[in-house]
Amino acid sequence: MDCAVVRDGLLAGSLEQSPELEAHLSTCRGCALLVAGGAELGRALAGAAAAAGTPMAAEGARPESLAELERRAVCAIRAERGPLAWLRSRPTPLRITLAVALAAGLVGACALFAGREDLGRLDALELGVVLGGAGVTLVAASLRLLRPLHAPPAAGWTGAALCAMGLAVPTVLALITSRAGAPEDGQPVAAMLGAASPCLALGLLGAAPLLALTVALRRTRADGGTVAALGGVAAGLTGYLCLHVHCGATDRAHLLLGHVAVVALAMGLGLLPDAVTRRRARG
Amino acid sequence: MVAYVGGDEEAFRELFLRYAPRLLAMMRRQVRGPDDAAELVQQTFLQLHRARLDFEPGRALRPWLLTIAFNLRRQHFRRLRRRPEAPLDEDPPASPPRDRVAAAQTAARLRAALAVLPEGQREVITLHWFEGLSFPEVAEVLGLGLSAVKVRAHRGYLALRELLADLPPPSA
Repeated sequence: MDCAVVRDGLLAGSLEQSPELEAHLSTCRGCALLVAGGAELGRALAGAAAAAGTPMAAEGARPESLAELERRAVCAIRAERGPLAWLRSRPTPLRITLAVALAAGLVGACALFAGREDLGRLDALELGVVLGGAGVTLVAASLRLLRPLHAPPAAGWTGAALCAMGLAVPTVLALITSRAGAPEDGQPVAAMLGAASPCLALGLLGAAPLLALTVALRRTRADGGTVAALGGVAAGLTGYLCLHVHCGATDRAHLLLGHVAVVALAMGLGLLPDAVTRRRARG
Repeated sequence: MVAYVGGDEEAFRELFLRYAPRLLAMMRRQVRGPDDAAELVQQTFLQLHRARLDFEPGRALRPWLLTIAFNLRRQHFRRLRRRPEAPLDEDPPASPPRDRVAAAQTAARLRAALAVLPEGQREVITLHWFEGLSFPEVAEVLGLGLSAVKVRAHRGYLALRELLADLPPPSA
């Protein structure tokens, strides 16, 4: 005997004492509560449930409304064609691997073809901390962003926490890797922005492919702004890492304005597709 | 489901006919408008289609599908920024008018009682009582431990018993 048999028996008013029922009630506190004390709760629920639409009552749903719903569902599924639909229907481990592999490929290509002059002389520990810190955050953001709906829900705070981490990690890394006595002291803000803007543009260029890929790999746009921003976090961190292996500047203002700002801007860009979708839906 | 993953389009129809009525009833109990309920069911099947290659053969489909439906329902309420509120029935079961009035009143009482429960208890009772899932299946759908599910069910049923104490037994 299982819970469904107890429920059905209560609904039908046919639940009778039996060794099987006793055995089930001894292990199931929920059902024991339902049938306890003359089953008043069970009867109340049974009467209410019959009217409220239990699985059984659902069989009485209007056939024409179900047929119309089926027609709409089939139409929506038939519209799932083309490369974007193919991409988002790949198995989840493959979708995550694609995103992480693209990020690694972009950073690797940047190091190989546009690496900074002192790349080979960088402190291995420092390089490891930067790649590891940003890399772990990037993978965590990708995992949360591409979490499938058939998985149990993630805690609500995880999206916001990862967004905060996406900004905090590169900021801390920039502070760690910047050098004391850097020449920004007394430099006008406009000059600092001017010096940082080429890196900002290059970083966004490095972030763009992963941003586009994560938009394509997502299966729903309804999971909230913080989750949507995670695509920007992953892409922005890719841009940040590209800049780290490309640009040899070490002054703090340049690293914050030219490198870390890439993550913040990419986060904003990550929100755009959802905003467009919402606007279209309202329209 | 395995046949559907293999490309059998007719298998989708069978899946839809088997699960859509139950999903629609569940959504109608929990969202305000019948259009919203239908939209959520449609989205559930669209997400099933998108995630079909994630499905592991041999796994039970019903908890898998219910997890999708519950996640979509959560997203729906997050968008609306409000607590789940129960709607009035669009399709009350056919019955004589007096019985229908009594049944509707009873249903309204149950919904009001459910709406008072904390979200966690309401979800467990919805899945255990209305959907007939076992506690291990409820735990799988909600991503909780079995003991946590049992505790929520225990507290939820106790609260419901108090809230519905004066409800008369249903007529046969």
